[in-house]
Amino acid sequence: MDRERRQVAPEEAHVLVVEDNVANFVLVARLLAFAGIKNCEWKTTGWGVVEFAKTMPQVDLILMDLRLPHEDGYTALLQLRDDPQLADTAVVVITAQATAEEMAKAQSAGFDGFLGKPLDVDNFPDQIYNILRGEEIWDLGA
Amino acid sequence: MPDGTLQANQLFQAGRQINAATNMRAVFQCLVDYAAESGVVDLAFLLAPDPHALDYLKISNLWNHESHGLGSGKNHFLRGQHPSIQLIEAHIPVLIADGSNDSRLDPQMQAVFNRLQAGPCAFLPLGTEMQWMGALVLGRTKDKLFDQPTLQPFLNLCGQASVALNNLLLLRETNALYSISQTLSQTLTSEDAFLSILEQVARFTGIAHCRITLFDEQTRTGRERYHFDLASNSGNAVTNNEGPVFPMGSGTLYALLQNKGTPVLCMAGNKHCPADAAAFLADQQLNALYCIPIMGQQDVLGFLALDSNSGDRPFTVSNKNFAQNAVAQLTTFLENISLFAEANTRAQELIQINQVVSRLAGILDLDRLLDVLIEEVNRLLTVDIFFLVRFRPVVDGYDVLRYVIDGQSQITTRTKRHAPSLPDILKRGGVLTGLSAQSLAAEFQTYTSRTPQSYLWVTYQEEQQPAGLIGVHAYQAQAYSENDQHLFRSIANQAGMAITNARLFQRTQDNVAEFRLLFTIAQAAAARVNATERLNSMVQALHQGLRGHTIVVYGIHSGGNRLELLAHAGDLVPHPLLTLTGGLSGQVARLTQPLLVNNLLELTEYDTEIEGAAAQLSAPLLTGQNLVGVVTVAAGETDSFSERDLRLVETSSVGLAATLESTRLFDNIQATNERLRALDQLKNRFLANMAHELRTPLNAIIGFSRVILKGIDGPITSKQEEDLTAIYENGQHLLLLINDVLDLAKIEAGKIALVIETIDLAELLTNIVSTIRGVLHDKPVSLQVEVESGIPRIEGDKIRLRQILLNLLSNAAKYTAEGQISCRIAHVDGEHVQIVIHDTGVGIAPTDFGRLFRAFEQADSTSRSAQGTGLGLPISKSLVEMHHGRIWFESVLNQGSTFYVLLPVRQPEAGTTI
Repeated sequence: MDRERRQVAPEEAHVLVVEDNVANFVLVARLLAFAGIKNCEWKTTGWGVVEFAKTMPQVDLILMDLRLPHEDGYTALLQLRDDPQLADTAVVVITAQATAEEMAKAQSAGFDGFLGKPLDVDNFPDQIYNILRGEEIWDLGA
Repeated sequence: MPDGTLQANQLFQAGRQINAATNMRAVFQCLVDYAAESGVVDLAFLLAPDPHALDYLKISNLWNHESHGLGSGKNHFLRGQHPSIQLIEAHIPVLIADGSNDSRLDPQMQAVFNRLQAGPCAFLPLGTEMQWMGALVLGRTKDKLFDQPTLQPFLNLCGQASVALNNLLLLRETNALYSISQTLSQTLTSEDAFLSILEQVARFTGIAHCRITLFDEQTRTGRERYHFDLASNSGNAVTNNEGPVFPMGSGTLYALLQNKGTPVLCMAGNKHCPADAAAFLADQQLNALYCIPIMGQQDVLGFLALDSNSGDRPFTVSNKNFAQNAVAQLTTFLENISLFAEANTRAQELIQINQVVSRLAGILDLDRLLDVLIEEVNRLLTVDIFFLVRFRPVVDGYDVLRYVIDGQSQITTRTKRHAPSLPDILKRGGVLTGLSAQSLAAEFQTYTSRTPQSYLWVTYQEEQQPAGLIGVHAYQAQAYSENDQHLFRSIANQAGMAITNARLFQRTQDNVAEFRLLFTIAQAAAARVNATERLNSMVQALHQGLRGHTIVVYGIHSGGNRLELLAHAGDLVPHPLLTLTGGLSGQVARLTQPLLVNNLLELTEYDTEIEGAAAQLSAPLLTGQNLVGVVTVAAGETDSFSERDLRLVETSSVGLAATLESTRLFDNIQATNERLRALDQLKNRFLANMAHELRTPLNAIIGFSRVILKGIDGPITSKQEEDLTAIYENGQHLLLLINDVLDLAKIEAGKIALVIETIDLAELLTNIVSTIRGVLHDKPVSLQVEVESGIPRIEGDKIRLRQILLNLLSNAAKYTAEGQISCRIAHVDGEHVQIVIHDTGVGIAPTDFGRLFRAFEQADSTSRSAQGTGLGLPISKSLVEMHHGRIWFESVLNQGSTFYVLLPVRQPEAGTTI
């Protein structure tokens, strides 16, 4: 990906988590906090992600579940990429659909990374730091 | 020369001359010459029957001293009833003292002696005791009486003359008989033979009239047919039917001739004279008739009659002998001529039969054969109406194959039931004429403008079995002779053989055509994979093979009580759904018996199932005992189908039934496959979903337990840490299980595609070994890794190969409590490498060998403690095999196991890359 992407420090980063499972969102939020990220927003459906993102002061990373009510992760990604303001935003998959096929599909759809569930708690902070540095992370998970 | 010696010498000389004489007159002359030279008589002459008129005696060879003549007309004496004639013909020497004046002699005879101036006379008889041939008459002047010594030499000489005369007569008879046989041998007709016999008999016997009377079978009477008149020297056939007749059956003469087979003498006035002969004698003014029968093989054909006006005198032994011999020759001739005629007739018949045979031979087309047969019968017999009827014992009926009236072929009927008498007639066989033929004809005849007068029927055979009848009728009466019956029977025999040949040929042709059609149907079937297409192409082939008739295949409807249209070909339109009760096809389905109806219009009790069908043929489609459908052939014309068609359809029904059944099975299999595929998809979707649904909570369980363990949420007690670790590790195990189940499902569904790249096994192994060392760190187990130098990089899916090695090594680690684990990578040949993983663990019981690589069958509960999903080995095996490799093991329980993985260096085809 040769997208221009601004590097941002974790404590300044704004992260949007799109996740319909409360427990899993709480876990991600807890881990993000552990990693030092203070700005974390939560949305439970892929529908209206663009509009929601625009209500945020800035969006540096979107952690996107794939299976979502109303609109799934892929649809949401298309809309984000279609939006000139959000097109370059890093969008990384967090999914329980942790298979090689799904990862390949996500890669070709244009996601910037893939973290399979169950999340590797020990590595999670480093993975987020790398993403915020502009790297791509493709990990099927624990 | 003394007187006695002279006499003896004269007698000897006379005897020699008599013996040398060649005719009667010469014999007579010798006698008279001797008398003249003897010097003891004054006159001598012969008195003998006139050979040209046996009713008369004639004086000949007259000698006397004065050479007196008798004057014209004085030398004939009617052989009437005069006593002198009887005296003279008495066959004994007669001496008379004065011939010119003896009342015992005929006055005319007395006048002869008177005229010749003779007194004493002697009549010395000539001939045999059987036949008087005349007398030597000697005379002397009135004063010289005859004495015995004087007459003795004459008596001696007369004896010699009698023998000579008899010989001459026999010679004449023989000559005449020879002449008859000569003549007959050149005679061709019986008429010529009759006339020539009559002439010969008349000439030989000298009887004035000879006649031949023939009996006629038809009129049952005998009538004079041939006649010879010696006076006019002419023979004639008698053509008029006048005068008296001799009745044949009841006639008295016929009866006598028939009974004895020998000649009958009929004398007028005799009480033994047959009545009809007496009437004839009166009519013809005769007083005797000598009748010689002309015998046929069985009965009297007629008789040859000799006339007489002087009693039986003309019927001399010689004459009777001769006439009988002549008639015998005639009989032989007639027999020969009739044999010849019969032989000729038979020869003609044979020629005719041969002509029929040669014309019929080689015609193998039945229609053409029957045409020629009719031509031939027409040529040989009088035929106004011709029939050829063939029996069909199976259906108790007959087919009229040919019906020709006045040269016009009539429409023939098929298979009619017949009267009960016909099979018997057929069994008896042979020729039928008269009333029996007429009543038989009535059985078949449907129309004639005129009533025939003659009927002739004959049975014929096919393959040595009674097969049918051929009949001919003629308008004229008595059109068929006995010969015609013979001929007709022979023709029927030949026709039977020719028809047999034609039928056999036709059957062979039919069989060939049948095989060809069945082959075409089989071919049509074989060319199609899809069962419905196959059925259609079979129906199409049958449609073409059965002269373009409409073919319909019905299948048993799923309910079982209906027939539904599956396929059809042809112009007629079938109903799409039939009940089992209404129509013919339904009946065939119910009875599982084929049915042929050549005239549907007559069968009003059946529903129409095919519009416009006039003839229909249906056969059940059976697979074993099971009815799967009905095949029906329909035609717009009546009488369209033969039994051969029925047989053909029955034969092809086997293939149709099989196709129908396979269509049903194919549909079943299709449906099952569809269902299985849907189930499989459902399973895959379920598994994929399940994995997702399980991972989602596991994410929280594993994640939060780890978060707490890491102290992110604050410090925890060692007990809490212990409990949380248990949660965390079991979560991990559950995750492993889920991953394996999902992998296995994918492998089984063929959903895994290898991503082939070139792999350094040693490097791969190094990574894995570090993980395994982590697992082993608190167990007294050593791990040795050995990689042979120069192991090539191999082609394979890195992730999957890692999965295999990790699985095998972690198994080894899991199941080995102490001892060692070794992993060795070695060359096998240039194209394969082998990975051998050995451990000194629990080993595998032989009873578990078989199920080790099967899913969800972890060896036993003792090893359960080692925590495995039981899916690792089945997955590894599948993955190895996907790499075209092989995996196997050796193990001794409680001593350890060795797993071998053999992998090719190169994968045979380019792997897919995502």
